[in-house]
Amino acid sequence: MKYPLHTVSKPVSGSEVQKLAHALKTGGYVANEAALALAQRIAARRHRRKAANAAK
Amino acid sequence: MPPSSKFAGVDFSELPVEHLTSELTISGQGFRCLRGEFVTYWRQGRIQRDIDACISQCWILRGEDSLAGYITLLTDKLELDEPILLDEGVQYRSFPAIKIGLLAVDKRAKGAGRRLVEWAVEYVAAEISPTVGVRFMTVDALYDPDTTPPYDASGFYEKFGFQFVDPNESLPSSVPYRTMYLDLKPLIDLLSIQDND
Repeated sequence: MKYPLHTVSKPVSGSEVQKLAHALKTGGYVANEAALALAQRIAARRHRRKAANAAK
Repeated sequence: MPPSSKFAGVDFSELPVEHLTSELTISGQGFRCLRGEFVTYWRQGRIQRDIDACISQCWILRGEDSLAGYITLLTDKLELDEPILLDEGVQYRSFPAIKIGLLAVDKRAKGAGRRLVEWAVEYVAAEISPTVGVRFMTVDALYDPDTTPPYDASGFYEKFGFQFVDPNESLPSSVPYRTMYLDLKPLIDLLSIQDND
């Protein structure tokens, strides 16, 4: 099956809906360890980039 | 020439991701992707047509002046199949999102896919989110049951923390993909702290 040029996202369903509801209600988020690691990695990279630019 | 030699030694993690504009002409000659449709979309100009029609925007990675990979982004919404927060007097059924439309890398360009995804997540959280409400990223991860074994791109996105909108979806479905999402709030919060330092 060929991947279509345009796709339509499927809806969130089941237990994922409750996870989202809880996150929104509490001001939290839905994130696993990989997502948190990604956020830390990107933030650290931006910090290093800013520091390098400031040192120039 | 061995297949791995074209981008051998190129560190894609440090290369700039370039916005595809009319001034940036890349033929895609020699672009080799595991999935041929992504090469066809590029060579037939279908991505450029989407850009011209303001349907999506495309960014590319180049190595040795050749196309190493591309990613397209467009607006989306993360929809729920039931309303939430009814007791709070609101009925959220959808949330603003940016979608990874197409992501393709040359099979010899190791690390190019990771660079494009991480760049996109950073770009959306740092550049788009502060000006236009966007909470999530979505992607329809290719799942092709017609290959042996089935071609399943979801494992790639799981490495970045993307989760299935329906973890219990039965496969194969009527369309060759599974929708995944990433909540940007942890990154948006971190960037906000950085900006206030």
